[in-house]
Amino acid sequence: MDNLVVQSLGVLGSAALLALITVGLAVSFGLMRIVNLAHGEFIMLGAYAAMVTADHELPWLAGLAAATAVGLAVGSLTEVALIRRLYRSPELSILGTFGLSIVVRQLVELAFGKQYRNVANPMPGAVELLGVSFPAYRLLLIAIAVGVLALVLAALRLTPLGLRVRAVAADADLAETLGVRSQRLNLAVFAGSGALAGLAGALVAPLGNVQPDMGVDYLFGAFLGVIVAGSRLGAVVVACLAIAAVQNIMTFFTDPMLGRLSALALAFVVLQTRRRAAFGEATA
Amino acid sequence: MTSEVLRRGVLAAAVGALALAVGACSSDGGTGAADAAPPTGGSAEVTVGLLTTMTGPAGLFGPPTKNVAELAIGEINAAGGVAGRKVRLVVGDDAGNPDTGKQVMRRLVQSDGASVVVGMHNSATREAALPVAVQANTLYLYTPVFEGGACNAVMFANGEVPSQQLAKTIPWVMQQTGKKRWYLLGNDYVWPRKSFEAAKRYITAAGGEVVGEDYTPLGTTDFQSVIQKVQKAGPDLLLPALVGGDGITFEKQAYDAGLGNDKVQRLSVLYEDNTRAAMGARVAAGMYTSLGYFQEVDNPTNTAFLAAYRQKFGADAPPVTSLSEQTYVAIKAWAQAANAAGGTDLAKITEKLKNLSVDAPAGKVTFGVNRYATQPIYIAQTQSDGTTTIVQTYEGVTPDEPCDV
Repeated sequence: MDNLVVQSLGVLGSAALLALITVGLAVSFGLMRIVNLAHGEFIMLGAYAAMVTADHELPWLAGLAAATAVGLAVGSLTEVALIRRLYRSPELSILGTFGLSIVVRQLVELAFGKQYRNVANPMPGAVELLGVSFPAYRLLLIAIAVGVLALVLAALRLTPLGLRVRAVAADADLAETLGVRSQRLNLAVFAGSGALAGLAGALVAPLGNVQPDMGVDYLFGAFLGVIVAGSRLGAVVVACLAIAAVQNIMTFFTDPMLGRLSALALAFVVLQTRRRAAFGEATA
Repeated sequence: MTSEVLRRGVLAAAVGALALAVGACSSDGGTGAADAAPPTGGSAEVTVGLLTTMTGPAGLFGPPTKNVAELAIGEINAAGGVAGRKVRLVVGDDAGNPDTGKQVMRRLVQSDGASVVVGMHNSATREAALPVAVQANTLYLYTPVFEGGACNAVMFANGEVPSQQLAKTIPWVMQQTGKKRWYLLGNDYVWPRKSFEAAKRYITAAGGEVVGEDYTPLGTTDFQSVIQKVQKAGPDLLLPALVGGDGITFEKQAYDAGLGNDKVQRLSVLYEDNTRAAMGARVAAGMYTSLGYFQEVDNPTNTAFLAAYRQKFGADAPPVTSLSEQTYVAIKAWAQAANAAGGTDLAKITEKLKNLSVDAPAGKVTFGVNRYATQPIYIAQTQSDGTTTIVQTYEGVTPDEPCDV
């Protein structure tokens, strides 16, 4: 019983972490088909924003706000300066954002150096829950992940802006003929994606190492989440839960390398199934 | 793949060029700076090549290594150089990539005419670069802590090997704590695996028990399930061989999950100053680290060494860790051997280096006939205020490395 509770909480905690770093990428990739290889660097910038605010002894929430603002600003700038020119070609968006990721890493290294930085945990230690002990901060992250995903989905489904965003995502040309200004919407979507990445960076900072190169480590997980989720934002929750479950349980009962491999295998199976379903529809 | 990709997009190429320009500015002492080193004395100078990592995640350790190399060269020149000739330093950056390391090694020995190459980089780069040194018949001094097992007629390795870091420290930790149940947790590559192979022998010999062993992929950001697995095995002692950021991430998450050092005592083999500092004092407090050098080593040579380092590079210069100090030792040992041999001939220097003692910041270091170094090993413990205290010293620890060439 305890074992089941421990495993379930562990999976929830890992899924929350994964969902937070994935949701920003899911917004830009799912809605705009932009492969943003600088997503990890946006997360890194959020972590540094949290570090700087913490160093100035500002409260933890100020760090989250600063990180979100930095992500929003960098996302907007990136859309205007780079992404806007790359919509027609996925290859170019890969190249452009790959270059951008190097620039951002080097600029942060110039400003802050290469050193490992520490962002203190606002809720250190474990709490007792359902008879087992679980990291308090992870519990908070689960709640935040649920809140963030609910907000993003609500914004898309329930607001006029969300409706237009979905219209552009479905068919940009058709939406334009109906008077939707897709360029402005794309700016909003990519800025939102940046803000979500920045927020995720501030949230993961207390759990790990803050360093200019940290983004790459998160990028892999985020892309795995997006690949499994596909283009539907609502599927991010299911995808992250599935990946976390497979990876955690395999790691627990076998070893960490097999854990990671089985997460990849899951992505592979999902892609194959989805493709077959798509072809099935096409021929039907 | 990267260069192929960059060739294909005009825009991306422009962005990439900007990135490289920024990179060259920031990595100060990478390949760009090395090329700029002026050959002041012409062919009369002896060139020391330093192959290290200035960029990428491991790039943290390149700058202090370059600093101590400059310090060593300055001291050697102030004392009259090597066999009457001035010495100059050329630095090459492998960027943590073995292919790059091999090319840079080639440049150091062929274009820069390095008479000796001092290497502070990972084993993958060593394996790639060694054939270049062999072909050019150039002395190669490999300096960082590593898994051992390397043996070549042009190479000496003075970094700590598992037998030195673990043979005495494992029984000591068990005796100190009265505990026996070990968990071994490392990154998934050759150094942690070889270290744990050795560790298991010493644990068994000391009457201990290994209750679990795991290897995590490099760059792991979520250790939740690994932590749960360790907790389930219920060890009293933990031997982490996690590198850099992974060590920090694991320890911070383990602390929050109730698997901190207060519950399970750590004996780490790579948690150097930067790593422990970034964990924060609360997390790092009480951990033991076994390495061949800490800044806290108390002897006149180390005091003078650190004073010179701070004077030359400022109070804010990165801390000197075992990784860098060993490079300083290797360069000083080479100069001593070359002066004793009366020149830079490989065979003559090799003969002198086999059985050469250096009065190093770490203490007495002796390069042996087996091409490894007998040296002091220290156990340092992080205090609750984040400072480091050396709690145990072993002088003259011999490496268990048979190498007979």
